[in-house]
Amino acid sequence: MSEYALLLGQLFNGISVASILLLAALGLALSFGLMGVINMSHGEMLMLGGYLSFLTLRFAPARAAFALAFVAAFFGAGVFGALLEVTLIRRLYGRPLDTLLATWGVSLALQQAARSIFGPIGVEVTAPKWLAGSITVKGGALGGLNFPFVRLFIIGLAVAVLVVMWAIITRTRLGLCVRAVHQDRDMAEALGVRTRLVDLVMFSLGTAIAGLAGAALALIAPVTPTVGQSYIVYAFMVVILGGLGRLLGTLLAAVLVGLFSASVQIFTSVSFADVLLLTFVIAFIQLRPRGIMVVRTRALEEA
Amino acid sequence: MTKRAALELETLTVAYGSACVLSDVSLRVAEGELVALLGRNGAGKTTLLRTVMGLHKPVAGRVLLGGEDVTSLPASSRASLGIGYVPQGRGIFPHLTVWENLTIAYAAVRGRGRNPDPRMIQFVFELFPAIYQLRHRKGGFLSGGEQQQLAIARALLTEPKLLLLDEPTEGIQPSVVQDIAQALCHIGRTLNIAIMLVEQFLDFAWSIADRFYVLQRGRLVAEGETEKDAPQSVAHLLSV
Ligand SMILES: Nc1ncnc2c1ncn2[C@@H]1O[C@H](COP(=O)(O)OP(=O)(O)OP(=O)(O)O)[C@@H](O)[C@H]1O
Ligand SMILES: [Mg+2]
Repeated sequence: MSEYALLLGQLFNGISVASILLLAALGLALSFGLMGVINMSHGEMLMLGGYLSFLTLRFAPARAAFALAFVAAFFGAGVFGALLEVTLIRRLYGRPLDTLLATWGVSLALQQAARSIFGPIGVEVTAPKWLAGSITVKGGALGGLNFPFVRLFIIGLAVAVLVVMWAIITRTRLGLCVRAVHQDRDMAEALGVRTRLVDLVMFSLGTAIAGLAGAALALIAPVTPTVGQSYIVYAFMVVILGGLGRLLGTLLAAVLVGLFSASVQIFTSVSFADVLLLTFVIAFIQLRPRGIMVVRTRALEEA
Repeated sequence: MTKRAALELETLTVAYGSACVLSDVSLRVAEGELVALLGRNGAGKTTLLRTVMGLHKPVAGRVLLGGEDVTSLPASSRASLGIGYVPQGRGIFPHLTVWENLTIAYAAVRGRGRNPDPRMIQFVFELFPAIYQLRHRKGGFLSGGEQQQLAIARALLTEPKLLLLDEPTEGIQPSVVQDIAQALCHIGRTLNIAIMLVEQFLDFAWSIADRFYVLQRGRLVAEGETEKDAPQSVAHLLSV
């Protein structure tokens, strides 16, 4: 296998990791951008999605199981998110520190619950046969380069989710309301937008997408009680880098973080790659405090 | 003959934390009536309008819309019951287009069509032709006067029974102030909309309002009719 092939292979892995990060970060970016809420238990929505997918694949009839697993992860995490919003987050509105602590508590409780139910060791999900193969480049400069179907599937899933989210936000009534609430909550409310309902729907949608991310993750790594923790840090970095609440920024940042950690890992160890990544994020924030995407203002446009 | 009330406030008291901003305010706006709310900076005018809209919860007292008690309803429900609100600072969504700004209320309220009544649109665009020209522009790129017109147009498209206007002439050139004055008179008369107008300029208020109230440090200290009372009679309550 040539060096090019190795490098490209690593980049490809980076993009597939970026896809999961993107799915995990979307919900965080949404809830922070819209409601100013930092949900510390967001990582556990990945975990929830992972276990739900595991259970479905175990107990559902074989043929439909794979699709059902994603449906269960999506709706399971979405319903949990909705409950969380109604019982906790809504009541702590305007108290960011309390929200942080309370959702952290939820995160710990969920991890402990998973430990009691499924044990501390991860459970494995086996992907269906048609996802087991891979495309391999034969011969030439890139000979030996390998694209596993599972990772292609995950990339496709992330792209699909992103396109649907984009369509919802730019093309639907709900999306128009979301944008209005994001820009001026009081004015939106005064024009008849039920802002609490918009919050609930978007928060729940964010956790549902995190559930999807968990189901996707389960295809390439075991589901453990702490699986959310290992991804949530990156997801937070993506949100910070992307500029809070910006869809396109979140996308770019996810690709950046995914590629960065994947390519640095070629040269060093995983933990050192993390150190470099964190340094990179800190340096970046110094340069562009508001993230990759900065909304153009009138002043900028006129200049 | 007394007309039915579009808005009644009964002994309304509003506080920010422990600071009482409005105390014991009772007033009434009849259907189709144009009432000016006057007062110095910080008197509590904006707070009063926001409380009517439902963006602040009063500590005590009631807000009645067309006789119905709406004190416990959120702003969004009051909006669908027929309050149009033009806030101080205009409240234009900067990253929505002018058209989206105008139709957001239709996207929001269930049971309404997706688009405003064409007759209403025509009425509004005849009133503010400039807004029609700008309909594809982002709201944030409009000039102050254009934003003010857009804010009024947007409030009208919700087909309100009561229109709340917070200093619509703030920072606007005199000729446009004239336009707005004419527009408001026109609206009140043709559509029979009750209007509550917060205004700093007495002349402007007197040129269009039927009645006035004066707020001073959160209390109503004067009220009257613009035809009977001269602007000078309240000037001392407003000068600094
Ligand atoms: N969110 C807030 N928190 C605390 N105090 C507030 C808040 N908003 C307004 N106030 C105070 O309430 C009082 C009334 O404010 P309000 O904005 O209603 O005045 P106003 O009559 O509209 O003044 P202006 O003519 O300057 O617009 C002021 O003393 C102001 O400082
Ligand atoms: Mg004011």
